[in-house]
Amino acid sequence: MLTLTINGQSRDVDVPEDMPLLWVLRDHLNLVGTKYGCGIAQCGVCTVHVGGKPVRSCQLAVGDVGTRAVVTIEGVGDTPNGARVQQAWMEGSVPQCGYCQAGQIMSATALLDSTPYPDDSDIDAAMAGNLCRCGTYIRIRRAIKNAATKSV
Amino acid sequence: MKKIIGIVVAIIVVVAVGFAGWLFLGRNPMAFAGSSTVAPEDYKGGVITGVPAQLASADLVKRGEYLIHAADCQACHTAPGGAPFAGGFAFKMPFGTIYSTNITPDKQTGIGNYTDAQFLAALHKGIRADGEHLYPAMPYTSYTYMTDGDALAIKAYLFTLAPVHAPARQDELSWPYNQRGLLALWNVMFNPDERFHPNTSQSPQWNRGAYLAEAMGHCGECHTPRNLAYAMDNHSKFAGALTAGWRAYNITSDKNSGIGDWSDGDVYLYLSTGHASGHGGAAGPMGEAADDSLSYLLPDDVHALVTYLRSIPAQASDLPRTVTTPAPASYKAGPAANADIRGEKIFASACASCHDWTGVSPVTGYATLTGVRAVNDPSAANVAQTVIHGVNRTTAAGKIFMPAFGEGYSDDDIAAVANYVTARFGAKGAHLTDKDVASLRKQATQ
Amino acid sequence: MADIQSNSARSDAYLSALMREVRSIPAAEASLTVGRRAFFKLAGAGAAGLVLGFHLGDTAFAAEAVGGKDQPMNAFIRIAPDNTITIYSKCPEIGQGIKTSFGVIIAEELDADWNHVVMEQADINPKVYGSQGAGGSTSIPRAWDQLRQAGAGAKAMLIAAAAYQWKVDPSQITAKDSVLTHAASNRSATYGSLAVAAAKMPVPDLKSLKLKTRAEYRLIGKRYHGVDDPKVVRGQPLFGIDVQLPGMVYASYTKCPAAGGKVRSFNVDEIKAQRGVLDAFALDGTGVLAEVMPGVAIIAKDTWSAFQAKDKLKVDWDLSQASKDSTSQFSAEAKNLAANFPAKPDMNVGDVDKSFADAAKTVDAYYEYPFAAHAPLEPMNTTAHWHDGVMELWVPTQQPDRGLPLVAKVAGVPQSKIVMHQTRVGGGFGRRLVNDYTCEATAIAQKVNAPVKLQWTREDDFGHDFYRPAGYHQFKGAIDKDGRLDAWQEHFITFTADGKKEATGANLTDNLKYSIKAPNLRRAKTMFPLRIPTGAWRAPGDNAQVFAAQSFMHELSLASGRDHVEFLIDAVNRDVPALAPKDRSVNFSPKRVTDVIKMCAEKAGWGRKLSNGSGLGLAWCYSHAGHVAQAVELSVDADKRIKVERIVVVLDVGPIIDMAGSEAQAQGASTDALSTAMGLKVNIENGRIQEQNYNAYPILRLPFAPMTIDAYFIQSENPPTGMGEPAFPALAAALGNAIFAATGERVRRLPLRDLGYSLAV
Ligand code: FES
Ligand code: FES
Repeated sequence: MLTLTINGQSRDVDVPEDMPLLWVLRDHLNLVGTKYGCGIAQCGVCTVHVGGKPVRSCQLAVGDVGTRAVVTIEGVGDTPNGARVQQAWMEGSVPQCGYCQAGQIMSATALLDSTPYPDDSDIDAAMAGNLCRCGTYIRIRRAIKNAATKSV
Repeated sequence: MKKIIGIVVAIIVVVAVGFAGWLFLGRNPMAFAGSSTVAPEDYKGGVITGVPAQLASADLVKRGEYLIHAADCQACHTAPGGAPFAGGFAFKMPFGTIYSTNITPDKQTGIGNYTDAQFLAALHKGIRADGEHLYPAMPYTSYTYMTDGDALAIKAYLFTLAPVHAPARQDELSWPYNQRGLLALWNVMFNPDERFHPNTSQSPQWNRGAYLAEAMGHCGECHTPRNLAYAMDNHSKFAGALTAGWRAYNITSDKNSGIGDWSDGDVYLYLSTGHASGHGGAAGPMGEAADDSLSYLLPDDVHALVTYLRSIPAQASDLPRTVTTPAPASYKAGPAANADIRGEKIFASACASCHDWTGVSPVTGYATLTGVRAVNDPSAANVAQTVIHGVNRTTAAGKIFMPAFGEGYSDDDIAAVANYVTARFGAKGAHLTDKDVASLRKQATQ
Repeated sequence: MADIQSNSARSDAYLSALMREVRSIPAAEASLTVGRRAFFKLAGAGAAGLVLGFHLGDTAFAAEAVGGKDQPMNAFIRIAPDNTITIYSKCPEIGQGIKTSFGVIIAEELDADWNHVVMEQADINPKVYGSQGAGGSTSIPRAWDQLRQAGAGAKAMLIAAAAYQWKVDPSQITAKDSVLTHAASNRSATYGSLAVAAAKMPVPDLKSLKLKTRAEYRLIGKRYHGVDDPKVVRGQPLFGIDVQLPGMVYASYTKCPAAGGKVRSFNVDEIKAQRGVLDAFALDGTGVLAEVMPGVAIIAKDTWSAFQAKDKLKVDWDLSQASKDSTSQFSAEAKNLAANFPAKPDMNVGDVDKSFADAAKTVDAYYEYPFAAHAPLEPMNTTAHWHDGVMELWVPTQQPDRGLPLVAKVAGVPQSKIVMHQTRVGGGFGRRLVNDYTCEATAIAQKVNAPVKLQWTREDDFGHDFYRPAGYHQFKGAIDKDGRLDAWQEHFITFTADGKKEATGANLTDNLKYSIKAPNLRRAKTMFPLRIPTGAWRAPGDNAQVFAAQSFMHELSLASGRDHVEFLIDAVNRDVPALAPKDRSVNFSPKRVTDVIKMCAEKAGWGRKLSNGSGLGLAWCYSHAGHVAQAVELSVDADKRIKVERIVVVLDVGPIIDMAGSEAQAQGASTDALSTAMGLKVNIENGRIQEQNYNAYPILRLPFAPMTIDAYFIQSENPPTGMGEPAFPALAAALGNAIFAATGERVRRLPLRDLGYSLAV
C-alpha cells in the first residue's frame, strides 16, 4: 500500500511499485485527464507535476514518487499559473482534438512557475517535448504569452 | 664505405629486432605484474582456475555453463535476433568484415564433429578442425590462457545445446587479409600459446581476477589498444580503444581518464549490474557484456575482478576527468549555453524530459547523465551510438530502456545533439559532423 | 461512472432512453401508439419542453413507424423551461470543430441565445440521424440544409405557439436571443416558457420554412471557442480512452507484425501467470483487416498489467498468408517500370503524341513519396460491455455509422442490439474511418463478462495502421510555341489489394483529374499487389499526388518561360470539355481557383525581388470541395537547413461558420503538411512496419514550427464545405517550388529529410 499526495489530497493505492504513475492515476485513481500517448517519453501527453517539476508520468515508477506532491491537470487549475494557462487556452481556442492539451498545459504551467515572462526560446525549451499531432503550436505559443500577462 | 653500409644495416637490424621484440613483449597481458609465476600445480595459494568453490561439486555441464558465461561466448556467437551460439555476428574491421561461426553441436555447420583436441586447438591456437587459421577476432590470444579442463567443460555445455543448422557466412576481406595462411606468422609473433600461470607475488584473489579478466572475460580485446598488426598492445594495457564504433573506456587506475577515482563498491556494482549510480550505466557492447556475462558471476569472482583491475598500472589517455556536478537547472545557463542552438532544440525535443537540463533524471537513475563517462568523452562516440541505437537491456533490476533515434533523426541532428550533450554535461564539447555520425553508424551496423 | 455519463462518454440519459425507444420500434408493426408511448414514457421520464427532431418527437415516431421507411431525423433540439437549449451533435468531434459549428448553424436559424446553448454528443443511430460520419470534410456540406431546417422548424413552432397564445399574426413576431417579441402589443416570451406549448403545435412543412440569407446571419461567421474546451483544459473525461465503468477490466490485443499472419499457439500458461492478468486467449477473428484479424487477447486488472504481459507474449505465427511486402523493393521496381508507359491508358484526351512532336519544349520528371502512418495522439481504443444480449460500446471513431453493421456482424446480433456511444476523438486524420479496434473490442467483450476496455499500445498503433500508400509518378509534359501547357502524360505506379482496382487511398483522385487542364492528356497506371492495409489519410490521394502534380506544373511553367502564377491561371482556365466533371454535384470552379491563386500571390508578395538563397513558391489544389492556394517563402543555408519565413494559405470554402475554428484548421492542416513533407514515412520490410513509435516518426515539434501561418478566406456565395482537409495538399508543392526558387534544386521525392533537408531553428 502506497500513500501519494495528489492535488493536495492524500490517496492510498495498492499497486506494484514499478507501475508508472500514469497508470496509477488513470486506472486506479480515476484521474483520466493525464493521457497515454507513447509510453516512451516522446509525446508529453502524460505530463504531471511532481515536486513542482514537470515529469513524464509514463516513465516515473509510482514507487519512486515518495513524498513529493503530485499535481495533475485536474488540480493544476487551483494554482494561479495553472488557472492563468487554462484561461488563456480557452480564450485562444487552442485545442483542436484536444488530446495533447492536458500535457501542454502542465508543461506551460511549469514554465510560468520557473519563468514568469517567457520569451520564444524559453517556450521552445519548455514545450518542445510536447507533441501536437493537430499542429496547434502557433496558438500554444501565443496562449503562453497571454497567460503570462494575466491577472487572476 | 662498406663499413658505413655495414653500420647502417646493423642499425636497421637492431632497430627492427628491437621493435619486433617490443611488440613481442607487448603480447603478454599480465607482464605488468612481474614474472614470478609458477605452474598452476606448484601454486600454493589454492585453486585459481575453474569454477568458484560453491560450484566445485557441480557436474561438468553445470560448470561449463558458468564458465561459458564467464568467457562471454554468446555475445559474439549470436547474430542479432538469431539463435544463440549459431554464429553470424559481423565484425566490422578496418580491412573488411568477418562473421562469427556456429558453435552449436550441429554436425554439418556447427562443431558437432569437434574432438576435444580440435576444440582446444581452436581456443588455444586459433586453429579450426580443418586446420585453417581463425582470425583473431576470435579472442584465442586470450583464451589461450584457459585451462584444458575449463575449455572442455565449456565444450561439454555446448554439446548439450540443440544443434542449429546455420552455415557460416562468407567473410568479406581484402587482400592480403583474406590469406588465412599469413596468420601462422602472426601467431608466432602474437599468440603466447601458453596456459595461465599464477603469480606468486600477488594474492590468490588477484590471480583469480587475472584469470577471469584475461583467460575468460577477455577484457583487453576491447579495452586494450591494438598495434599496427592489430594485436593487443599491452604496453598501454586497458587504456581504452574504439571497437566497432563504440569506445571501450580506459579502465586503468588512472584517476582522471581511468577508474582510479571509482570506489571498489562502484566498480563492483558496474561490473555485476552494468550500472553504478554516479557513473551511469553500460550501453552497447559493455551492456551486453554485463547482461550476458558479468552479471552471472558469483560475488567472490566479481570481487576478484575488482582487485585485479585495481592493480592495472595507471595509463593517462585523452579522456578528461569526469565532471560530477550537475548542469544548471536552466537551459540558459551552463557551459552549453553557447553550443550549437540546433543541438539545444533537439535535446529539448527528445531528451530533456528524461535527462533534464541538469543531467540528473527526474524519472530514473539509469537516465542520469551526470558523471557518466560517455558524456565526458570528447569524441562523443558512445553518446552518438546510444542516441542512434538506444538502450534495451533486460536486467535483474528490470528493463533499462531508451528509444533508438537513428531512424527518425538525421546524422546532422545526431551530431548536433551529441555535441550539445557533451558540452553541457561533460568536460569538453565534441565537434562531430554529420559525416562522423555516418561513419559511426557504419562501424556499428550489424 | 456517473461523472463520465454526465460528462460525455455517453450523451445524457434522457437521450439514451429516447434512442432506445426509437430503436425498439420494429418498423413494420409499429403503430402510432407505440410512438406515443415512446413520447409519454419520455415525458414520464421527467423530460419537459420541446423535443424536436425533424418533426415533433411524438408524431415523428408515428410518421416514421406508419410509413415503415426510415425518415431520418436530424440533430435533436431540446428546449428546457429554464431556457437552456440542448443541441445534439450527430457527428464525431475529431478536432475539426464540428460540435461547435453544428451548434452555431442550428442556433442561427433558431435565433437562439448562444450563451444558453449546451452541446451534447448524439448517440449512434443512422436510422434517426442519417449519416454520422466525419471524413472527407463532408460533415458540414452534408448537414448544412438539414441543420438549418431543424433550427428554422423549431423556431416556426415556437412562433406558432406564441401567436396562438397572444392571438396575433405569426408574421409579426420576431425572434432574437431565445426570446420572441410582438412589438405592436409589446409582448415577449422566452423560448423556455413557450417550449411545452410549442411541442403541441403542428409540424411545419419543410418548404414553408424560410431560411436566412447571409445578410441576416447573427452567429454564423463569428469567432467561437470550442464547446468542449472548458472540459479539455481541465482534463475532464471526454475521450474514448477516458471511459471508466464499474467492474471494468482492461485488454490488450496482439496481432501478427506482418499483416495476415495467424496464431498457431502462444505461451498461454506463462501469460496467465503474469501479475494482474485475469485471462488470455487467441481469437481467429473474421480474417478481414477492417474487422478482426487473428491475435491474442490479454485481459488484466489494469492497462499496465495488460501491457506488461503483452511484453512477455511469445506467439508462434503461421506466416503462410502474411504480407512479405517491402518498401525498398517497391521503389526500386517502380523506378524501372516508370519509363514503359502501359499500352492501355485509363484516360486519353486529344493527341498527346502529336503534341509532343509539335511541342516547343517537353519536360520529363519522376516523382515519389512514401507510405505514411496516421499516428493520432490517442491510441486506438474501445470500451465494450456485452450484457443482456446487447453489445454496448463507447467508441472514439470517425465513422460510427459504418462501424455499427460491422459490430453487429462480429457480435452476431441484429443492429437493434447494438448501443454505440460516441466519445470525443483524440485525432482522426482518416485512421478512425476504419473500425477494426471497435470490432476487436466487440469480439473480446463477448468472452469477458464485464465491461472491457481494449487499449492499443503506441506500437500496436504504428504497426497496425491503414497506411497512406506510397506512390510513383512518371510525368511528361509539353509546352506549345505560345508557352502554354499543351500535353500532360502521367504514368502512375500504385497499389492494389484485390488485383482489380486501386487499394484504398491509392487511386488518382478525381480532384486532380478536373484540375490538370491539358488539351492533350493521357494517363495510365501500373499496380503492385499489396498485402499491407491502406486507407484514407487526411486528404486521401491529394495529400501526396498534389505535391507531384503541382511541382511538375512548376517545372512546366519554368520551361514555358512564363510567370508561374500567370501560367497556372492560364492552364486552369483552358476549356477542355472532356475533363469537366460529369457529376453535377461537383463544385470545381476555375473561377474560384483563379481567385484564390490571385489573392495568395498578392498576399505573399509574388514577384518581389528576394535575396540570394531565398525563394517563394506557390501551388494550388482543388480538394474536398475546397479551392485553395498556398505560398511558402523560405531561405536555405549551405547545410540544407530551411528557414520558413512565411506561409500564406487562401481558401474558398464558401461562407465560414466559425472563423476561429476555420483558422485553426487552415493553420493545423498546413503545419501537418509541413511536418509530413519534411519528415514522415514508414518503411516496410518483409511485411513488418519498421517505425514503431514517435522516436522513429519525427512529427514536427514546436521549436521547428512556423511562428505564424496567414490564413485568408474568400467567402463566396456557395454552400459551405469542409475545412478539415483542403489546407493540406498544396503545401508540400509550394514548399518544393520555393526550395527550387531558392537553390535551383528540384524536390522530386518525400520526405525532404531523405534529401538532406531539415528545418532550421
Ligand atoms: S505517454 Fe508519456 S511521454 Fe508519451
Ligand atoms: S490538439 Fe490534437 S494533438 Fe494537439
